[in-house]
Amino acid sequence: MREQELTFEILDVLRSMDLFKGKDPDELIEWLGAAPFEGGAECVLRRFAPGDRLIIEGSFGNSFFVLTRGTVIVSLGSATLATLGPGSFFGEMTLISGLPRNATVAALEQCEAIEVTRRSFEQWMKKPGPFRTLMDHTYIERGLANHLRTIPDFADIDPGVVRELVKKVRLRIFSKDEYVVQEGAPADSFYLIRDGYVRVTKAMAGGEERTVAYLKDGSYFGERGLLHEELRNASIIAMGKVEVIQVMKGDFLALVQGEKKFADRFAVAERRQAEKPSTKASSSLGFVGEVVERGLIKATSALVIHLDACTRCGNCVKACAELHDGISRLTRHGMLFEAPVRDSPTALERLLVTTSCMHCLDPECMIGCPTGAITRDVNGEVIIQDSCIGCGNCARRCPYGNISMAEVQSEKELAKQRTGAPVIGGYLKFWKTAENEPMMHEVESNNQTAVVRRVAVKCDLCQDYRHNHGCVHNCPYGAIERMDAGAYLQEVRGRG
Amino acid sequence: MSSGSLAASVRVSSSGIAAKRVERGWRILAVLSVAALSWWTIAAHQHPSADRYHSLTIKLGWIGTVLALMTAALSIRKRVAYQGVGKMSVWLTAHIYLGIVAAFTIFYHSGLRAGGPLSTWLLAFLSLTVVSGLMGWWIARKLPPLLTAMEERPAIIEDLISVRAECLQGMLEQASVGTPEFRALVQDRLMKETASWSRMARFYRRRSTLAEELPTFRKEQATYLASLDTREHRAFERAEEYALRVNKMNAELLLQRILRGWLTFHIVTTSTMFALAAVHIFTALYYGGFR
Repeated sequence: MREQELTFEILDVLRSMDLFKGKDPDELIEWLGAAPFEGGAECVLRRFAPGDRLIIEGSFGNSFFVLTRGTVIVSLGSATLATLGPGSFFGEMTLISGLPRNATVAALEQCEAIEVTRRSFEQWMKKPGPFRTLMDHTYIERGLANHLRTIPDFADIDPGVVRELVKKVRLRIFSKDEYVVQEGAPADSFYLIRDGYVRVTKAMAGGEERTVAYLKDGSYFGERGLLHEELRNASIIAMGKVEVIQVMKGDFLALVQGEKKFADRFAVAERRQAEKPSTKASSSLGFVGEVVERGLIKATSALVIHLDACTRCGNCVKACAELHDGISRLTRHGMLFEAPVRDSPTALERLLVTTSCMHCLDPECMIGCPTGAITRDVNGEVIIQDSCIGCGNCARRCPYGNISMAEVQSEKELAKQRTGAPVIGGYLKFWKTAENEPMMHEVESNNQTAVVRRVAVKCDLCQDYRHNHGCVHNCPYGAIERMDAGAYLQEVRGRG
Repeated sequence: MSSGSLAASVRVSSSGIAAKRVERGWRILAVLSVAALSWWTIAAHQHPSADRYHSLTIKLGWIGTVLALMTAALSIRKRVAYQGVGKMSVWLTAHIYLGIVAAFTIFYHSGLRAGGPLSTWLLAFLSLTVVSGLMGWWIARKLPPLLTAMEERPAIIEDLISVRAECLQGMLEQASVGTPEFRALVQDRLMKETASWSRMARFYRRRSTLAEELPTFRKEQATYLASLDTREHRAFERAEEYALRVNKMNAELLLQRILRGWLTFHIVTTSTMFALAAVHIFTALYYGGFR
């Protein structure tokens, strides 16, 4: 954002916000106006005409907005949630959770808003202060309100109750294999899963711990122990990064006593649970269990090969390499699954989920990219932009090993470096330290000196090509497809 | 406890379902085309006028040529690949069914008579092309499930070759541990037995694996094996492990080679057929047409 764009009017609006409490104009100019990599943000002042949509529900975004002029309307489907004026902010939910936008924000009149990139937002969130505190609080408040609306049992909760509840609940984040609840422990809270998957396990005779169910966002647990004053009858274990909203015992009981309908609903749910056939062992959770267990469930676009139809011709890999400067973004290795056949539910076929980006719903690779090069577009596709400096952070973070580091040789890069072109040259000036010097070096190739640039490479869904998905497009036997794991599982469940 | 429904969004891209739908369309088109061609040929054949039949065969010849060229366009698609010229699976389906219709057309054009040496060879190569194509179709459908059932993890042919070479090298190293007699046992008996065609045939015919046969081998060599010292005994056991792996690799390699190899045969017969067809068309035009 250019310094001259930061007018007194904008500065006054920003200074009136709790978000920037304690910052004087000079500090604000430094925060918002400075060039990237110098501690400042990559902010842009954007103008919107009436009716323009700043945020679209269901899309994936990479920015956070601070409204400096005009009013916007926040809506969910056809329902209007709020009208926001200057000094409001929105768009932080997606950046924190990685999930799609959960509401639409449209301009009601001529508006001006500062758009802040994910990278800058993450940097601001790292520093303790009013920005982080307020953002965490808002995240819980808005997240809880939106989240409760998506759970049928809580959809009609009184907004006043939610506001009160927000003050008391805690947002807790668990990492893989961490216990959220331990079997046999006293019940002290009620939990709502906001994001991620958990495994429900029970101790069997002989001490063996067996998985009896999987729960995902939108589910809740822990009410039984609180209502009946019992010890926990199962353990709940995080299967990856899991976000839960924890409601403490006293607050939960006050909520149930205050609104009788919740107690009735919990009783119905409990009866339904009791009527279900006896709990299944993990082995019988079969394909669905395995998909959840191995993390495939997070995939929005997994590249799957039906091995019974694949002739191993390698056309998929060749096509991928051809489309990406000779470097294939997929290998025919990966996770193997025994999945029910589409036309015959009793038969099983072997599926290979290849080592290729699955475009996870909540991509861990995007956390902490120093240049903000790894990002996702509005359709949810995770992409690596030209500003990648090859630090390898994303490759290390990807739990599936689907991002690799490659050395890209190109005369174009050499020219860019010579001329100090802004695309990468600007970054290099800052990043070319003794530590990361080897990221860019020269190699002798065919008696010509070419610049080798180390970059992270991954499947980009061939988004530069009009036909999309080179691998799928070039399989002669239709053996390879891209699939959304959630939708696929639902299809499998539907088939029984 | 309550579980929310698993998130459902759209399947991103699916080639299998679309490919099946396209194939059904092509199959119907091919059956209708062959039926129409047969009706046309039979009707013309029964007609007393020789000229009419002659004109029909000429027309069928041209139609067959055009269809054959369209069928061969798949090889161009493979080379100009990835430029948004349609799905490869659709091209392959079109290639198969156009090829079948083209073959019928050319057979009707020939009147199912061999004719002179050139047209005899042409018909022979056309038949070989059709047969090899159908063979490839069958192979592409039947072999992958067999291969999938056999392999622990999918491997590409290059990997299989290199792992197999490593295993064979390992067997040689184990053989070098012992006496010349021990070396002969490992190299001449175990290694050859592992890689033999007869063993492979037994595997595919009777599903008898090397693991099942090794006890018999051990029994045959019991006296000699009992005389081995500890080092040789351990080396023999390792050699056996290598043998099992080599055997498995051989079985997978054979299937992968068949999956690739039939295409070479199909391309050779097709190329020869087109060369002969070019000469046939030229002579037909030269002697019967533009001279």
